[in-house]
Amino acid sequence: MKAISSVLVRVIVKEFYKENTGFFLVVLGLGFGFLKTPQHMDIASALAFRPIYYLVPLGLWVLYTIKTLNFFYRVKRLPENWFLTEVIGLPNKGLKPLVVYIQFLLLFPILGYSIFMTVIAFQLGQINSAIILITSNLLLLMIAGYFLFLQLVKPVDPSISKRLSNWIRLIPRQYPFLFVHHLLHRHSISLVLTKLFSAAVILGATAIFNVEGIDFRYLALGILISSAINANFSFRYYEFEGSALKLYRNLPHSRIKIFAKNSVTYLILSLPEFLVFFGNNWSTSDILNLFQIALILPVVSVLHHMVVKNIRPNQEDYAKYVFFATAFLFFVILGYVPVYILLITLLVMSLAFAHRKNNRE
Amino acid sequence: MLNIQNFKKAYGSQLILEIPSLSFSEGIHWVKGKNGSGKSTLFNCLAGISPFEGKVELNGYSLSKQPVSYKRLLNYSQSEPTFPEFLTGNDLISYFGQLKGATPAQVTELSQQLSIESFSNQPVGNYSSGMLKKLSLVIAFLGNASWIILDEPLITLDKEAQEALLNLIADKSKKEVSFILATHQDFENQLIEADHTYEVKDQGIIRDL
Repeated sequence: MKAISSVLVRVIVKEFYKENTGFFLVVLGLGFGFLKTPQHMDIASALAFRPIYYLVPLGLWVLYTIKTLNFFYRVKRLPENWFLTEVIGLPNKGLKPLVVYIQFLLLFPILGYSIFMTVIAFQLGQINSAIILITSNLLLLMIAGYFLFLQLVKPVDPSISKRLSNWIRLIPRQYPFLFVHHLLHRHSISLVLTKLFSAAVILGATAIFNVEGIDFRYLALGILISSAINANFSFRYYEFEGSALKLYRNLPHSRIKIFAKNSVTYLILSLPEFLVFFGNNWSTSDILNLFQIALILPVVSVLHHMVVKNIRPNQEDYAKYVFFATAFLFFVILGYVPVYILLITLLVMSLAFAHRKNNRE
Repeated sequence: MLNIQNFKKAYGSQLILEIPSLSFSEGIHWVKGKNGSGKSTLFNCLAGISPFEGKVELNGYSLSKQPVSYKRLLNYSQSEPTFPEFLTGNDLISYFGQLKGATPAQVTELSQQLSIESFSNQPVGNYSSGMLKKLSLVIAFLGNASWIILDEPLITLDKEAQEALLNLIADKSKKEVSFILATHQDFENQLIEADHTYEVKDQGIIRDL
């Protein structure tokens, strides 16, 4: 059982956390950066006395659980993961606890926080609140585990919906669009969730900026966090170029030309964020400032891409790199460095990486 | 005996294969067919990794109702095997070994026969197509399956590995293991001979050409 469990953990759990590095970066940043431990204890205490408000964290936990199930739904349909279905060969008494264990690891962040809230409720003598928390989390784990089990043992064909397929056909097929096609075909759910989450962060940053009204750094930080959320696409693009776009390596394209094409791809991928960003700020802010800030997203994505092409890290090292690069840029922006200087510096660095011999092209 | 009843496989509205009734008796079966005729699709369905309509039974065990018993009896090697590139060959052998009830001695013997020991500790992302094929074949022979489906087993294999594989098939066949093979190459020689041949054609299957 140990070998089966080890493979499932690496294919499902580790890949989930790697893919959602940007998401966890933002959640940790917002949840434990702005709020300190005493504030978490205050919130947990307040909720313990009014258990009806547990519906708020529970709603967020349900959304997170749906995210884990969506992830698995997509991963199961990847051609290389056909072998996951084979676990149906395990007797149910071995398979079901294993699936619950996998789901437990996927839900670990919310279950961990829930244990913290339960301990607080117990300390305050709010036994009913503690029981509500324990029951609701166990229920969430079991229901999610059941759906995971159904997905795991169900034979599936790698496929996309016909409606989506018809719509994708309208998108041009030039080089910069090929990765967009790939994302829409193979990672559509992840793409939509990432863009929704990224848009939510931009809206949050806009709301904070509107309250304060002067400091553009709030918008820049929002776009920077949005680039961290989108960072997994840079890694995927690198993998996609190394597998599906091998053919282009033999064509007489200079590294700079490929760099330009990659950059266009990231501009296309940034369109949803651009729409949200300009749509909410164009009437109240200087358009030139907004334009500079918006470009942080594609420029940082291009930098990530070029770094990956040169260093060729595994996904785990890439997650660490994104974390530290984002943290560094966060403090650079906080330090009142003009955005255009930052953009030029990042572009020059990206070009330097693109021009290096170590680059795949 | 492998029985197929009212089998139907379609992708959306596109019918791929329809088999009202077909039985594979014990022995070696050679399934032929043009590229895209549906051979691999049929094998994916028989192996339980692709959904279909209808009933498939192996020695009385239904694929949909008794998958644990069914899967123990049937092993499968894909024509172009793919695995997550970060897993090593040994990870996958241990995974399938536990599922199929293989012994460590059997794993060692198969690894030696198909010469995969030198690279099985490396991630499969570093493998050539021939190395991947060998790994997939080792996996297909793990445990005590009474039926083994091999889709294009000879492609991308070197001469030595092809001979080793044909010897393995001949050896297993003597121990009453049945095979369903799909290949464009003529695999028949003094060691093995197909008992029945089939052709997948026009969304159906024709027996004994």
